Amino acid sequence: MNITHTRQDQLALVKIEGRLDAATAAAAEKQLVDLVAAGARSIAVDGSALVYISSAGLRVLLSLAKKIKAAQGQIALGGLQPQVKEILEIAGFSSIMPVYATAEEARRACEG
Amino acid sequence: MADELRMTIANRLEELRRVEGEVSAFLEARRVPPAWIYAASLALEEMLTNIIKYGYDDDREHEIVLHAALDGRELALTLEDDGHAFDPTALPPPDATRRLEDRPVGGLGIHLTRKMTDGMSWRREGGRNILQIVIRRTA
Repeated sequence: MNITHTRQDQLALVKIEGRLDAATAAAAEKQLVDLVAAGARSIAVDGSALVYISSAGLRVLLSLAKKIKAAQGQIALGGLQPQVKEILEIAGFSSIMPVYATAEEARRACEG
Repeated sequence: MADELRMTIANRLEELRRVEGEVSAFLEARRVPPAWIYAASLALEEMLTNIIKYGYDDDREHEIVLHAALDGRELALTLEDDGHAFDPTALPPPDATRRLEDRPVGGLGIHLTRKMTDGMSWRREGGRNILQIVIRRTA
């Protein structure tokens, strides 16, 4: 798992690569929380290189979404691979954060 | 004769990565479709996490045995542990009327596993939980 980001003012574009699972959840959560602490109010996640997510990974996204919403920012996901998207659908994540076809659409949604 | 993999796993979360690596390598070498590998990986992570975190009433080391059997159309994963009796197939489906944030966290992994696989069965035998998960080729 690897997380990289670029900042545009208060919006962070975050790319999560690899596996978001029980083995990587703690490190991922720390990096994402640090981003929020460093002033990112909204986060657009580029999921195009996220190959696997489990319930441990979903909990990371859920806790990130809570922090972003508490700060009245926006969070969106885009570019997800089909199986990751299926997991989010089964878990009912659409009520937590919007999922767009591409990372670029997720970014635009967070700017709006 | 089915193609088989057998692993003995200690009740430590650090074992999850080794299990994922060996099972994926076993399936990839047999050209199993990626969707099966995802489902197998998920089922094992979720079920092993539950066993390791919540299955034991002491702090001692325990052994969990994984057996994977593959024939052309079906992958059967069997997990055996000597923790207290726990039947993940008996968990009621999640309450869709409650918001995700408000639902108990423990059930999500079981729910995902159920939805991503084609069959789960559990039995208690000789003081052990025996959980079998089946993934089938549907096409």
